[in-house]
Amino acid sequence: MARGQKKNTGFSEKELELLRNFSPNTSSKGMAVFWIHALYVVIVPIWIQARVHQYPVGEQMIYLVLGTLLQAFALQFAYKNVKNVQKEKIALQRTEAVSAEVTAQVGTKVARQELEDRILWRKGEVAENESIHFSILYNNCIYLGLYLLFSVIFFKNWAPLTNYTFSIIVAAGAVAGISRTK
Amino acid sequence: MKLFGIFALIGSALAEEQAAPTEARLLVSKKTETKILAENVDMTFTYKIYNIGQSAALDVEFNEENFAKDWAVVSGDVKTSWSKIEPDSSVVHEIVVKPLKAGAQNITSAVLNYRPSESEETVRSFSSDYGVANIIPETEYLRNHASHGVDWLIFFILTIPSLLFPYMLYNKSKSRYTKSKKN
Repeated sequence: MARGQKKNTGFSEKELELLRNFSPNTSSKGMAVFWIHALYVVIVPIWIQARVHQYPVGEQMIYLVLGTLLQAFALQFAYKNVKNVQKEKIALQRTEAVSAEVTAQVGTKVARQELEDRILWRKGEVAENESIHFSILYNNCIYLGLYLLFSVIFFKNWAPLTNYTFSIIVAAGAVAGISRTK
Repeated sequence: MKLFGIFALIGSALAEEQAAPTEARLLVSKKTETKILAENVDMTFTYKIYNIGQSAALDVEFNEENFAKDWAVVSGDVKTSWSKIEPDSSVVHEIVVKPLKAGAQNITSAVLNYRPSESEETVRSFSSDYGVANIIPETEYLRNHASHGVDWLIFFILTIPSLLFPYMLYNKSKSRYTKSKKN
């Protein structure tokens, strides 16, 4: 969709905006939200590593930094994928409600075409926001759940560094992997 | 013949028991309830001093020298004294200490000096000893034995921005549009 958009110059600005609204690309604001959430959620397990597993943070800091960056990359990738799938679903579900809302706001003041454009634009905006937050919640739940399961139960007696490495590979890897299958 | 020997032993033991010492006689037990001895983790030693004699023990001085090196005394006195311990009575003394380094440590007896009666010289008595204590490193203790209740609580608080915030924002939008849909 994005490629076609670049090639075709026959669209007006409004139409282009509408297309952007429904393209799988995430807005820069959305990307910032994704990166912040991804970086934060992958830092949280370090607390468990340091306190419960007695991970020597001072001596093995480099692995934590590497792990954090790689996981953050995997998570924001998962956020994007799940967001794109959810955005379409949510947009369909909200069509009626958003139409009613926009019609109530502008009513008959604008032309039919204009009203439809506004509804479409608003629907895209609502779906984008909702899918961003849904995706973050969904992926964070899976990530934290898997991390706890492996780090605290399955790999409990492993050495701290091995425990951390394998737990994050499983948790972040699974989240990124699952997000592609949908 | 062997059986006779056993009876003779029991008889003599009973005879000795009956003849309780007329002067004071102190027996000291040294115990700890702590099952896992770990570096930098408090443990309590309880000393029970029994006077099994028939008169009061006087000027009782208690001295525990095991905790002078590689240990920190958290509370209680390693040196203390009682002017008198009555016959058929006991005194309990507690010391809370923590080992400052891991490894095997031999914990021997505490020493008790007292006068069995007014007219007698000071005698020395020893408590039971603990034996060799295997003190595990602090990290091992924290990994395998500590409860981490507070750590887990903090962990769940830390997850709030990752779970609760996106849920609230998602739900806010969802409920707004599903409500108006019903209307």
